[in-house]
Amino acid sequence: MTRICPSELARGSLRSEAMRMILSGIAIACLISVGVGAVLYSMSRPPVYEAMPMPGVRLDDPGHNLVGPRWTGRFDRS
Amino acid sequence: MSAPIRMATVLLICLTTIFAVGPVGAQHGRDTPPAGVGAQPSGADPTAESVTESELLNEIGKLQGRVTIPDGKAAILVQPQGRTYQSFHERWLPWIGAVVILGMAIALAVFYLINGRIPFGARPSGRTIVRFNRLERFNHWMTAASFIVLAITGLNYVFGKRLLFPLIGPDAFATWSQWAKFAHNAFAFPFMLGIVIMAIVWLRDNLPDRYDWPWLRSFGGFVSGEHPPAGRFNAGQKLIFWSVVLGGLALSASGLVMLFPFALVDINGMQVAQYVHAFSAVALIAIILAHIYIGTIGMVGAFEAMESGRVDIEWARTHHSAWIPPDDPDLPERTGARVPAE
Repeated sequence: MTRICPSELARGSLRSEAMRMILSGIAIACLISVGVGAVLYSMSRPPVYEAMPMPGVRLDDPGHNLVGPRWTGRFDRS
Repeated sequence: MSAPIRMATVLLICLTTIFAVGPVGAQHGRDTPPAGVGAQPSGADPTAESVTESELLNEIGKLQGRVTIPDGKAAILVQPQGRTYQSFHERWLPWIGAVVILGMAIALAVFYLINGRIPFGARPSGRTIVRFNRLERFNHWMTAASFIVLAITGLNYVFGKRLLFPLIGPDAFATWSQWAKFAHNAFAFPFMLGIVIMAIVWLRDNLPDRYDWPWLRSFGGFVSGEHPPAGRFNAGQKLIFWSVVLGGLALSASGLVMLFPFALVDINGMQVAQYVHAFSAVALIAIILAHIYIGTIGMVGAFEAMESGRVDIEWARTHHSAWIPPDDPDLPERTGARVPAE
């Protein structure tokens, strides 16, 4: 819609209306993201160490696996 | 020395030679084992005759075993495409991204230092005209906010561990990256919604017209020194529009494929999706940098269009003369008509 108005008279209301559009755009983006994030989080599956707990090797904890925390990658017969 | 003793001596020498030299010959052309591995009491390497990984890979294309967990993909140990993708992601992509994005930033800075701001182009009339309605402005800022979050968090995937990690340490970087990943996934949806609305609202005004080629040929007036005629959107703005729509489409499609891994494609499809996503993102970030530049400090009066939705009539006549002819006597009565944009 095309409208013409004296810019000086309307500057104050234009500024507030402009900021309202900017802030509402940012706010709605955040709201949609929070909603979608909640849905996605509810759909996510647990990690393997929670889904398939085993008494042996832990895939996520290199400090307590078979190799040990001080493993250098070099073979040591002793 | 009797014959039996001579024969026993010769046999002993032959056996010693075979046991000592045989394994050495069998090792020729194979991977060198780590020190100590294969040091059997007999001196023989029990794995010397086994098939190597490289031989298997060359023969069947990938190394695959068997697993007892539900995720059958975990049985794939080695596949050449994975190495190609890793090389791209860890070596080429950071350089491509840095060159393209920093190159655009440097080019814009040089352009600004040489040319300064694009001037108003006419004496302001003091009267303004609606250029973007509320829906257009709201959607622009929703999409822009989403894109900024997506760009920052997306760049963290590639540059975070190289630039941010050394500065803030592992704990802070891990926390930031985890939240960045959540934000990247979530803000993708308002971005996709904004792209759809943009395509619907602005498609008609971004179709090619007879003003585009002259506008491009004169680089928007930089060559000729005069403002070439343009409709609601000039050719440069149309290029931005189509880059955003097509780039957004590529990002959305590849992003959804990655957001729901292996739901639609296999491992190779996942890697293709990441190629598409990476290239599209780098290109779109560079293009949007140019868009932000021209919409803010690059051109006098451009930001007000998307801020308040209004521009001065003389500005519109100067930059979009085909939409608002300078001698249009019916301008005040043109209610419902489309308005020019920047």
